[in-house]
Amino acid sequence: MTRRKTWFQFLFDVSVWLSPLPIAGLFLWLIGDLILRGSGAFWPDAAEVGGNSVVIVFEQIIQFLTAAPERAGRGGGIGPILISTGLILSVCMTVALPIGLGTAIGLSEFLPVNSRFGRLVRRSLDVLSGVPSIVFGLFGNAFFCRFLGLKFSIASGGLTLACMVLPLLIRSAEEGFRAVPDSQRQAAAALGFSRWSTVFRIILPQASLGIVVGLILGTGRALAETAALIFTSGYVDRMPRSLGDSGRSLSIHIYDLSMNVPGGNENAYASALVLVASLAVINLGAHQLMTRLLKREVAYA
Amino acid sequence: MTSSKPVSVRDPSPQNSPRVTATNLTIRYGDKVALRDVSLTFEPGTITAILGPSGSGKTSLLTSLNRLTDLIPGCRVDGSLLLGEEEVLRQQTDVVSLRHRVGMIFQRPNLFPMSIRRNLELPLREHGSRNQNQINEKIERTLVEVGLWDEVKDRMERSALTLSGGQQQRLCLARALVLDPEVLLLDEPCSALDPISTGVVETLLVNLRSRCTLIVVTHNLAQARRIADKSALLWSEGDGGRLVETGETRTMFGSPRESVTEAYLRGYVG
Repeated sequence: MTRRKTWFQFLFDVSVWLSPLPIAGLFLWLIGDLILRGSGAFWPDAAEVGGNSVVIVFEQIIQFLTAAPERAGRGGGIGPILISTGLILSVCMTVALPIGLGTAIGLSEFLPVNSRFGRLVRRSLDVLSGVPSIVFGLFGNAFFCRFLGLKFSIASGGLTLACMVLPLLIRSAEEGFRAVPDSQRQAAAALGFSRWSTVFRIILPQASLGIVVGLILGTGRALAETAALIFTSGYVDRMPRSLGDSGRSLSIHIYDLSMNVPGGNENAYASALVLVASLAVINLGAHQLMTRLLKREVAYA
Repeated sequence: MTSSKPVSVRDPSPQNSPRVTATNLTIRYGDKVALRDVSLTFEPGTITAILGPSGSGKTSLLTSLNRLTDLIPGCRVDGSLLLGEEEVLRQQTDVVSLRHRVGMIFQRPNLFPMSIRRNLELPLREHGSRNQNQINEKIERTLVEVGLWDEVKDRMERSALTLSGGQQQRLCLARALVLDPEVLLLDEPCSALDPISTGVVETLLVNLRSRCTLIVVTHNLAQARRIADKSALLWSEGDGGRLVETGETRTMFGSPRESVTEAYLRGYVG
């Protein structure tokens, strides 16, 4: 009896320990493949070897990040595409962050827990977060590009992305607000804090972790988006001169190179590597920034 | 040069603490009556203990005094509640300034997860203090008053949550006292504390009598006997707490008028 139990337990233990392996393996494979093939663009040609190869690789990376694409992206770099991506993302976050925070604060701090309006908003958000991005793309095209007359532009793309990212942002920010215990609200109220200061001085600093999580998730989703952008920001690979210009985002560039441009694979991989690296940088950066801010305001230990 | 309000404008003495008068106070949560028709006066310069078993409406009575009942959805308070001459229950009452005048300490310490200094500084800034020197002075004076200064003066920038339970509760007291409240409400302030910390807090409360009107909800009869000048017993038969008896603590404990009071104080019921 006891023997069988230990045998079973052993099996259980082994499978628990083994099951994460495929996931970790998949991740490593993906990253490894990306680095191996993506960095090919940065290796010096055989003929050039002679100087300091580290310096050459570094120069090649800088070259790739700043130069304009040539021959439909087979050659050259991704300079204008990085700029367009950055602009689209900025438009998206500039619009989504205040609206998202405002809605989250409204939902968790101002509306009664079971109000009809609150439930309506929450249900809409759930539906919205399940809508396929291609639908957002079509909506963005119809509303921002045509109806508002923004045409194919970085502004249209950013605004469409903002609609897509909002549900994510609001839900995780709201979770953050709800995680702050009611005793904190009571304490603030009993000290005669106005509702405004209770929210901004007491609750918001404690909820900032949830907000950062939402921000990171949202940025990730926005950076990875192609379908919604093809119809809104377009795929012109020139350097944008204003938010009214069409601009190609990094993910669209990767999609285009790998699907429509024969011989574009090497640069597609290189661009994908840049995309993953920038996601990592944004994640780390947001985390660092928040821990800094939190240290100034909130101190749990 | 920016103009700044002085940190404290009130001369903290019992002459300036207001009398609190509840008349026919009834508190409902939805259809459920928590407190029924209670009339009670809290005198300046005294500690009044509100006694009674769980569910007798003690906390409801206490939180109606600073309108914290506003935070509870479905809560309705009827009757009259005078702070000095002012009606607290009026719609137009400015709850922010009401809560500035009426401080409150909760059962469990509920400090903000911030530095010790910030916990005391935020309420002062919220109520208009801008001069950092005055703020620092006020903080130090208050911490000395609650006997925490020597324990925390070298760690003012550390999290308030690193303090022990007793220290946290005294810091909560300090946080309420920096605002120079005229009335201090305490909801079982020592129930989460060990006997030594309880002793420290009780001594503090007795000394605070000279500054404000104190109202203490407590389960602890011995504590009421030790610190309260007056006591009030609330009792509920399941249909909302009523006031059974009130008077000088010594008289009430020595020769209770009502049989319920006698049974409760002797420990037969409750």
